[in-house]
Amino acid sequence: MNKYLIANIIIGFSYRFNEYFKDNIETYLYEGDKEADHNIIVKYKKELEVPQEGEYRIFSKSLKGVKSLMTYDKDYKNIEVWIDEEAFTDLATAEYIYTGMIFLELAQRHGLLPLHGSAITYDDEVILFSAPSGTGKTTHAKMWHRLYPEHVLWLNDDKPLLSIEDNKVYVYGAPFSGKHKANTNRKIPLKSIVFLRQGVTDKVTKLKKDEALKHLMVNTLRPTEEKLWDNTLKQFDFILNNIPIYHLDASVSLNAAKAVKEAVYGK
Amino acid sequence: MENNKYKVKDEYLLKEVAGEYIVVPVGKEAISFQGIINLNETSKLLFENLKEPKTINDLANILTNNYEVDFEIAKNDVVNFIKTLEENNILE
Repeated sequence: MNKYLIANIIIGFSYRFNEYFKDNIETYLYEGDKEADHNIIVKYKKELEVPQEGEYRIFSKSLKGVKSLMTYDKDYKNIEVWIDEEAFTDLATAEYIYTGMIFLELAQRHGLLPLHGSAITYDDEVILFSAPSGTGKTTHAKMWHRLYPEHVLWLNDDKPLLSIEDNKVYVYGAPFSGKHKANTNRKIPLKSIVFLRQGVTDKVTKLKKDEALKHLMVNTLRPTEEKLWDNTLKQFDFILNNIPIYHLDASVSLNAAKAVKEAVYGK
Repeated sequence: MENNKYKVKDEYLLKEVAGEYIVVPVGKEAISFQGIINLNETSKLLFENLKEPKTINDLANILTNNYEVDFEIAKNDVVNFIKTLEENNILE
């Protein structure tokens, strides 16, 4: 089983389908000596049974039975993802979604903040476009690529991971990059967050803390334990106090990107 | 409603972020309740006191003890707050 170093976490990862991971996960390969922090192994079977002992969580059920579940031990060190191979028409996507979910939870436990969005780098600083799925973050990020090709690299197109280190906010890439497999294995300082809404005006407004907080809450992995809430809220506090956050009423024209660039950089 | 005692579920926690008070769910409630609740000073005081069973009158008295407000108005505020909590399944 290969080990991968993603956002400072070493993950032993065994999966079946290459569709989402090939030409993507390789940059995260870890060949050092340290043991994995977590092992995630995906297994397939026809007809899953609910485990009789040990910790487990059911992901998906149908009338016929369990479609997918995970078993785990203390601290989620060893995780098995079980998928009923007859219960899904698109196994590669199911595999990607469940392993992605697990990875984000692990990242949250390691003190990282997953934020739903498309992160690009502009001259080595990250601008994160955040909005619920289907709003047009990727479309908007692509505009930046088109307008400023020498300045822009694509970091992560699904759930980039934020981390507060040395009193700065950094963004890590991860191989769970959504449909476009476009990401880089690096940690880069965060410049700004832009929450998008589909619109026509391209108006960019700087958000006040209480409005920005609402957007952050909606676009983050919701914690389920008190300690995780405390971490997340502390991170929100720091981000709200140190990172300019904007709202964009985004059209589909290139003007949308230009409007944001002007707001963020003043030109 | 008068003599009933009300209490918030243990899985709802009062937290502070960016200078605001909010209520967040943990455990089972975290799966079913997808929102957060914003509290002002008054509702924060009520929420804190609802960690132990209280009647409407108990809570109205707490408000009148802390603020310059008529008992009837305080009671009205309490009833509205309790209704909101009930609607969102936050009370035991």
